[in-house]
Amino acid sequence: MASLQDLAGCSSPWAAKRAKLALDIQSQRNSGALSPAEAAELMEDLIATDQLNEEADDMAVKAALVSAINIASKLL
Amino acid sequence: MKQFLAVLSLLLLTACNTTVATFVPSFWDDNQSRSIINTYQLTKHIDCELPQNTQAQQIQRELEWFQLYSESKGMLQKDVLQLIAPMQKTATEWADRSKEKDPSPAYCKIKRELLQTQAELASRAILGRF
Repeated sequence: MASLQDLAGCSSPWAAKRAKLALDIQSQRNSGALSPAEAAELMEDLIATDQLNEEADDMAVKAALVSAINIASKLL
Repeated sequence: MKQFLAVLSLLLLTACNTTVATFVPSFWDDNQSRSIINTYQLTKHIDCELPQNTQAQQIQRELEWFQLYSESKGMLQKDVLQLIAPMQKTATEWADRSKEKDPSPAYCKIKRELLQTQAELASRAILGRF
């Protein structure tokens, strides 16, 4: 929990957003607004969102690479 | 010797096929771009005061269209299919959970935020292709 609170205040916007959401799920679970099954499912979704983040970054790098190769080939 | 070469060629072709499908990125596609923005828009309009199952199913159907279209397009679409897989899981779980009765409003609000984040990430990646 302490590390999540540290991350919620960190300078990286996406990490802070994810950490705040994890803390929100935790607090909603503690208050009884979420059932244990609902909270577990939402935490899994949060992890999947981070994986999607990595794949999206990977696609952006590949797109930049294709674009750079295309420009370079026109300069040959 | 001929048999050996035939087997070797087959192995190389299979390896090449897998490599191409894994590492070569997909390119710009108007239909995929439209579909992912439709999905993003659906997530933007999720209303937790309204019945949840219909809304979950709309997102599920749009993602299914994207999947079927991309699979039909060919093997160079693995990257976009991987990209939408987490969103499909998130939407399917929501649809399944809301089948009998609506889950809690807290669940719906967090689900909405997660789906919006996922759709935004996927949209940027899909529309950012060359």
